[in-house]
Amino acid sequence: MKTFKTLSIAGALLLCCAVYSGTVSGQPARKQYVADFGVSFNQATVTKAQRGMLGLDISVGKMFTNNLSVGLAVGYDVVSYQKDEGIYARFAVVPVLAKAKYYFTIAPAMTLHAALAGGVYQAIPHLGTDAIGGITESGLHPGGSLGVGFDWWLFGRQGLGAELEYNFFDSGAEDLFSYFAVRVNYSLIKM
Amino acid sequence: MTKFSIRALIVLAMFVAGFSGCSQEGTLVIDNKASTEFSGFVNGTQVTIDPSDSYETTVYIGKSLAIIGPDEIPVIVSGSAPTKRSFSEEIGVLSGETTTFRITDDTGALIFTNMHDRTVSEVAARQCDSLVFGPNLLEANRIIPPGSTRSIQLDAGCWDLQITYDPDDLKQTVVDVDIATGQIIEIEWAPGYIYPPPAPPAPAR
Repeated sequence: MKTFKTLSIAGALLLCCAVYSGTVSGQPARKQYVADFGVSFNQATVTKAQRGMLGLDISVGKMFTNNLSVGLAVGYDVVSYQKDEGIYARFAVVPVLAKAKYYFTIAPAMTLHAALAGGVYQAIPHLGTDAIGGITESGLHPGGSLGVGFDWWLFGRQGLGAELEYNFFDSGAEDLFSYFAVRVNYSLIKM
Repeated sequence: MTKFSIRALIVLAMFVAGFSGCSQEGTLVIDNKASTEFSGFVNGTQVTIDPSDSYETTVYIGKSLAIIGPDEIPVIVSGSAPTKRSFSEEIGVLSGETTTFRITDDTGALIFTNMHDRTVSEVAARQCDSLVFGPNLLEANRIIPPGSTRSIQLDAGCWDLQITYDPDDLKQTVVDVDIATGQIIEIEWAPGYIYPPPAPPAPAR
C-alpha cells in the first residue's frame, strides 16, 4: 500500500512538471556546478509523529546537460519534535543522497525543477517511551526522495528558490518511514 | 514577478500551516459486556471497568498529509475478569473513527471463601463423569487462609471439587457443581460442605 502511494506521488509530481521544458539564459548551464544551501521545515508522516521542526541541507550538483544535474545532498532534518515536562523528544534524520535534478525553464531567470534522489538515511531518535514510525534506535536505512520546486536566478549566478520534497526510507517496520520537507534554498552557480 | 513571488510564499505558508494541523486521532471504546469487573491495561494505561460499563480513550495515531501517513495504529488491550480469562489482543484503531472492543464472558467463576479455621492449600476439579482430578487451580503459592476469598475460573459444565486443607492434607470432595459461562457461584466452604447448600429455613410467621 505504501509503495503504491509513493509511486502515485512520483507520477503526479512528474506529470505536473512534464508540461515545462526549454533552456534560456539566467539558469545553470552544461558543465557548471550548482550548490544549494537550504533551510527546511520537516514533518514526519508516520505513527506517533509529533509536530515537525527545522532542518539544514546542502546539495552540490554538476550540470551534465543544460537541464540535468547530478550530485550529492546531505542534511540534518528534525522531523518530529515534542517538548513534554522539560523533556525534548525529537527524531532527527541525516540524509546522504545521490541526487538528480531536472530543470524546466518557465520564464527568463526562473526555473521549475523535479528532483529524484537515492541513498541512506541515518536515523537519530531521542525519544521517550513511544517509537516513532516503528523506530526507537539509531541506524542506517536505505531510502530516497522525490521533490519539486522553483528557482529564481535573480542575481545572475545566485538564486533563491523553494521546494517540496517527499523523503522515504525503510524503517524495518511494516510501513515506510516518510517525511515531507518544505525548503527555502539559496543557490550558487560556479563555472 | 513580485506578485508571483508573493503567491509562492503564500502557498509555502499554507503548506507549513497544513503540516501543523494534520494530526490523526481515533477513539477506542472498551465495552465490558462480561458479568464481572474487568481490570487490565489499555494502550499502557491501567483501567478497571465495571460490568455493563465502558472506558473511552482518544488514541493519537500520528501525522499525515493528504494520502501520505498513517490512518491506523495498533493498540494492545490486556487483562482479565473473574469470568474472562487473561488475554492480550492487538486492536487496530482507525483515524477519525470509533473502534469498539467488547469484553465478553468466556468462563464461569467460583468465589471460594474459606470458612474453616485451617488453611486451604489446594483446590482441584474434575468433570462430574471423570475419575481423575486435574491440577491445583490456585495460583502458585496462593493458599486460602481462614476467612479469605479467592476467585477460581471454571469452564461451563458439571464439576467435582477436591479441597485440600492443612495441616495433614486432609481432603474433601464437593460434587455436582454445575456452572455456566458468565455464572458466578459463591461457595462458603468448611468441612462437610455440600453443594448446593441447603436453603435456610423460612422464617416462622
